[in-house]
Amino acid sequence: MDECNLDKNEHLNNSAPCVSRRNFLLAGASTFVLSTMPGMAHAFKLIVKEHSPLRVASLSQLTEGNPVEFMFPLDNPMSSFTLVKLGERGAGGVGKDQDIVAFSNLCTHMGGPLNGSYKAKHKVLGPCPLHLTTFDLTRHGMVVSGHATQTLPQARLEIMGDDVYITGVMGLIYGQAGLI
Amino acid sequence: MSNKMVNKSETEVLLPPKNVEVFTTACDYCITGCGYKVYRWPVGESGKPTPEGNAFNALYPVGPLSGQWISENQHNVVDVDGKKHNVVIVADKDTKVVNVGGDHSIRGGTIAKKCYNPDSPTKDRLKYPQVRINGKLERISWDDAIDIMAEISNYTIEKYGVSSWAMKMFSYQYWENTHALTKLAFQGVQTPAWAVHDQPTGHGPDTPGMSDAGIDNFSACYEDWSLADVLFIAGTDPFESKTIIFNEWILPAMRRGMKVITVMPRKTAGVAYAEKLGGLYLEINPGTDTLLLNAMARIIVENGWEDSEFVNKWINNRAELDQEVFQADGFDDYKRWVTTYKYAELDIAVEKTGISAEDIYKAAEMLARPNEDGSRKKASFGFEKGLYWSNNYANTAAITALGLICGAGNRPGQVISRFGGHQRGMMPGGHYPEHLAPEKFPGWKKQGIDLDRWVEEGKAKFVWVVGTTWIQAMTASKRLKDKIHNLTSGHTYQPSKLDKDHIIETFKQRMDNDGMVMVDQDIYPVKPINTELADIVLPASGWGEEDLTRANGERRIRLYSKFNDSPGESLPDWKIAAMFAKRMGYSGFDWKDSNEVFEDAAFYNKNRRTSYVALVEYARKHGRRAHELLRDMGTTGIQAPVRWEDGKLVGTKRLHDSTLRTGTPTGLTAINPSWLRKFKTKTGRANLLKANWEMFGDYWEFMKPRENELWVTTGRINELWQSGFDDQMRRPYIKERWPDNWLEIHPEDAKVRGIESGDRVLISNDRIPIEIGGYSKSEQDRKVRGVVPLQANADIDEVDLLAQVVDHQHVTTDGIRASGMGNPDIIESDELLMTMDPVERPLRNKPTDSNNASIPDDPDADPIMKHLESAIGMKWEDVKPMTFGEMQKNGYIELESASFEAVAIVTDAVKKGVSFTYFNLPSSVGATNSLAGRVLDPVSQRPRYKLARGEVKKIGESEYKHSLAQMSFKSRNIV
Ligand code: SF4
Ligand code: FES
Repeated sequence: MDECNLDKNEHLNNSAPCVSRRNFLLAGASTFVLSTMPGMAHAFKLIVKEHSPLRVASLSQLTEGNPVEFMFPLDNPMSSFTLVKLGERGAGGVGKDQDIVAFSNLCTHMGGPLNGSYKAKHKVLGPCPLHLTTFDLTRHGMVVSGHATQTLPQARLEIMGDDVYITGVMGLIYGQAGLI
Repeated sequence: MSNKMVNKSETEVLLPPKNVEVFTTACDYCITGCGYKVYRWPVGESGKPTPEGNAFNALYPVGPLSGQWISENQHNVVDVDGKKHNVVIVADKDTKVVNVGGDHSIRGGTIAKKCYNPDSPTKDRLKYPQVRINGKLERISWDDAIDIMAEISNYTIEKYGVSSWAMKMFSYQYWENTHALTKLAFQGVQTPAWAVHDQPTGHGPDTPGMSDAGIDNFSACYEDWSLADVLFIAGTDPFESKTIIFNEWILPAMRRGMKVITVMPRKTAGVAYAEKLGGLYLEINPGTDTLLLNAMARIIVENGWEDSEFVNKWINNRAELDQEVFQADGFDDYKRWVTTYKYAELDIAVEKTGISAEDIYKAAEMLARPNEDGSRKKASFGFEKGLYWSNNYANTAAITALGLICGAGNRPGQVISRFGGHQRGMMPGGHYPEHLAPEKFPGWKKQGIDLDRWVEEGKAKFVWVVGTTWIQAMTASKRLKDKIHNLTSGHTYQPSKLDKDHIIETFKQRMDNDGMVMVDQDIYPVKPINTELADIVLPASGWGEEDLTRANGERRIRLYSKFNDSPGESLPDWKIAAMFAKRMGYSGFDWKDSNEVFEDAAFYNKNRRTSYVALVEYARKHGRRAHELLRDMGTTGIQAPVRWEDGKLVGTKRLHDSTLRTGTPTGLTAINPSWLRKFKTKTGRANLLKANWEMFGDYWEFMKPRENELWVTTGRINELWQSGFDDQMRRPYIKERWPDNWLEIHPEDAKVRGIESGDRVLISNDRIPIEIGGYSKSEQDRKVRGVVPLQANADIDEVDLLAQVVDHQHVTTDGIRASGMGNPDIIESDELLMTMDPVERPLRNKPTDSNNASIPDDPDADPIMKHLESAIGMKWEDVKPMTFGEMQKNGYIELESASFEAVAIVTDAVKKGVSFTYFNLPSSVGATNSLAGRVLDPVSQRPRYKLARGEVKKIGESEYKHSLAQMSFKSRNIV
């Protein structure tokens, strides 16, 4: 595949995800690529391990502020995600309004479960039940307030028709010894 | 599909292999002092995610709270004897103290990125000594730098007296360093022109109202914060700035039912969560704590809710003088005062604090109302800078009095203590020569030199700055900055060639022409102190680059191990001080390594809360080095005062601990000061102080916002440490979160100003009061500021008295005979010194009645702050000339203007009418502290940093407003 353009301006402005149709269809399991998404700041988080796309939600059933959870990859019991339609543009967001995002449910402080903690009013995940860290889902999982030593891993999503697919994960999920 | 641009290290965690070298240390940053481990191994190898394959014996993926996961920010590559090594630096998962189980904040959690790595943003570390030639810094050798400094130091000391030689230094960056630097200043040069990073005068108690009550401000242990039924917190959210004290001690206790009352103008996560769990949030107007605390005390006393059993046993009941301002003559006198004093009335408290009468009453009730069955709730009181840096003496006196009547101060879970800011890293190498300082209160006690004013008045000729931004860290007055510039890099006399003699000659000429020479010692270029102002810039080494020690907020001493090279020719601060001292011919600086400094310093510190002379004695008796003993103790360390009892070293969990049982002392030095079990007064009982509003009220009225102004208060935030030199400036992960300075503003205040989150705003004020002058020896200076003639004493042949008594003659084969060593009274009672003393004594009216109850216990006093520490016995006529109104009337106040820029965050986490900003980010436009007035507390001479007001105007949109890449504008109170 062609590596996406890592030019700073490209990912600071709100260009559409550069993963092209062709990439999507060709994406195989377990290769690492450099990818970019709107609003993504630095190279570390741009590294994505590509997977065969997994369908995780349908557009028509997603409503603003009501998150859905899914496991990814399916064979990894320690890797659950929250997918949500923010109702406001988010970094890495997909959909017409670029407001559909998904993030790991494991707090990158010490692995607290963030399941069910989405705050629709603030568009944050958290507070973590262990030590109260909150993550800004409009800002690629940046810590709002708290202790995590890296941003919350974000899913790379794609839409085909009414289906939302996850094609990879950016950033290290808590507990793992490598990108998943 | 290609993966050629992706390194393996970016897709996999670099795990420490089995059997790598492990070093213990503690976090370099906040007071909490979390225990850390450094795993180090040569570049090239890496561990495997199976138990046999890594140093943690872990099978990955690991579960929550395992303490075994490593994020990208916890790894770095460093030099060890010039060879590249990996380091993984993580909180110690095995620790049972402080950060139990390897908990950490975002600050310490990313500390691996602090290490010097030329391929990272730390590459601009200072590496070589430099001198400013024609305005540009150029490299010179250490020898030349020290020669130049010594030559001009001798010149100025001889010609202008010791007080023309000044030092402004950090108070916290490790004992070995602060000991060497203060030994140089106090025993070598013997100058009173010395101040620490956050105080204009010689180091004194941060919380004088508490010291005068007889309570050590770090008397509690962390466990105490989890043992109360009700915890009262003022002026801080521990979640934000001493994170692990919150996470590991306060939070679990709240979940078990402890109620937390927080007094703050701003609701951050810890405050909001406490409220959610049944606590109480008192949203206070800045600076009004005394009124709130007095009103609460009155409610308690009026209802008879005080802990009378405790009060009867533990409160002093005699006052020193009839006209005494502060000390109550026992509880009855306090009760009379608080129930009749105007500024303890509920109505006044409601009006000024902005807190409802119901909430004030409820807070008093939660703390002190006995349970149905007559039993009492355990109440503890913790506070920090929002309280004591807005109204220093009265606020600390008021919270202590409130705590005491609730029965707190000397029992598990019933404590009164600071939480702390920096770790406790001051290790005095002598005592502050207050007799050489020119100012004192009329008829009463001496004051240390206010170094900012001293410099502005042109009294300093040589200033050595160590590890502080100085200007922004203090009140950032424009006057100080302009003045320093005019005296140094803006002065006519500038070296024009890299020639030692020429440089020395030019500096002497500058000094003779009303100029000043400035040396700055730091680890990075710092704006403007060494980038624009200093003449000589010295590179220091720091955390992880030398074996160093200090204590945390529960007096826990640890060894902070060296594990990597320090860059270039940089040296530890103690070594630089020693090099200079030896070049000056001072004795007592012949240390071979940092352990020798540590062992020497023990004898000066024998009577202080961080006493560890027993550790040194034990080490020598067993043929060990004291640092090595500490290394054995790892991240657990030992809590000071360290005692040697029944053959074992024992730590001291809390001070003034009425439940403490000690053993039989071993060794020659019994460490058993009375304040281990009792309060720090002559009688061992505590003093109730009457927190007086009149000494501060006129200033508060002046500082409160006018018309369309807002309060502009400052503080810390979880994600940043200090001036951001490590993280906000050099850690991409953190810089992304906080790329710039910001201002939190309430939605209603924002709306009327047309401000939205992400807008760039200008915060300004053109009526900032600045205290000036006072050193002219005019009639008025003499009367109002108590200025006494200061004699140049360069011609007095001074003997190094303290060094004589402290030297190694006390070391015997049995150990060390420390009795009589390091006792500050040695100097005070010395006949010789008395005759050399150029100023009148005694420095205060010491009553002759030895039964008198109220004098802080002299033998236990801190040598560095002797005679500067107490307001007991002060009369109103002593205090009055130093109040704002009087100072203004007498021409000691000037009004200045200042402004700074920030990115607006509109949030209801901050009180309406109040705005909040970070206290010191040198990378921002303008200094936030510059809006704070520079008018010192009349009693303690401490600044009131947290009080400022200003107009807030939108000046545009920041680049972050529409970017999704950097900076979050979400509220910090989401729970
Ligand atoms: S709480 Fe303080 S000491 Fe502990 S890791 Fe954080 S900054 Fe370091
Ligand atoms: S594990 Fe989430 S805040 Fe600690």
